[in-house]
Amino acid sequence: MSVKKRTYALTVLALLVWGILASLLAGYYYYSYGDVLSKTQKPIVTVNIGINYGNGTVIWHNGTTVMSGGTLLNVTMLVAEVKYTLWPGAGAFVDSIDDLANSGSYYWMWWMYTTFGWSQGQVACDRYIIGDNETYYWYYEDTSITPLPSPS
Amino acid sequence: MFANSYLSFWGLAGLNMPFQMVGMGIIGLVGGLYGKTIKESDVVSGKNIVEVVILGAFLTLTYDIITNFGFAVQLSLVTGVSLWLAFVGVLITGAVFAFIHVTSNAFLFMIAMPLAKVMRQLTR
Repeated sequence: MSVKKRTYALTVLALLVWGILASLLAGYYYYSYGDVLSKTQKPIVTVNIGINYGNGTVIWHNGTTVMSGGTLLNVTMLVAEVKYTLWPGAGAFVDSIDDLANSGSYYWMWWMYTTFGWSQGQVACDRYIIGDNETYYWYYEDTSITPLPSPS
Repeated sequence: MFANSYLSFWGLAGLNMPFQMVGMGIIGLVGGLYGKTIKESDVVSGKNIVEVVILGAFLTLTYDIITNFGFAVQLSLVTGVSLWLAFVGVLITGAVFAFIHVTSNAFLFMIAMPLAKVMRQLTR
């Protein structure tokens, strides 16, 4: 391949990478913006929160009302005593709920009920903006098990 | 691939492993073909480093798209949503990861050529 053709091909590749990545990021921010906008339409939202202490005790706080725009951490702190550590760039890491602390391979994990069933939380709880009528579940579970056991 | 499948920080590859194998196969093939076009004396030239960075970024993105497609296939089978919708959803939700993956790999490829030259000299 001549130098000119090689340079041309690499320029096309570089532009392709930039174009695809920029489009994906634009799509991500468009989706995130729409998600936050839809969750803050109503001034007050109602959510359900279940807390599974890992010993068979599950306590549900159904119909918990909070101001819209709040995070899962905010609403969890309304119904339970939460201790957490803030990690720069990553968000809040829950150390304990109601004095039950992470220990060994047991950690507090959060789940959300979706139309497809239980879905594991994808971000730190202080990064997730709660939506009206959503159902969350804090599960003190053995994280050494793969795949992670879901609440149901 | 099997070791990576079981020891990866991101967890078990599961049904995504065939897609990972295709992605890595493409990377190996392109890398092998590209290596034949480089003269030994030009390995650490600025031009070659730029080429490798661009090629590395492109191949990383290709790998991400292939493995995201694999995840979308599984998502589509499990949830029943259309494959196209699942694919777009997976690509969009994985955009930040893809960006970090591509840019970090581009940086690593920047030092790959000088490193390869040093390693070749050491093994001679």
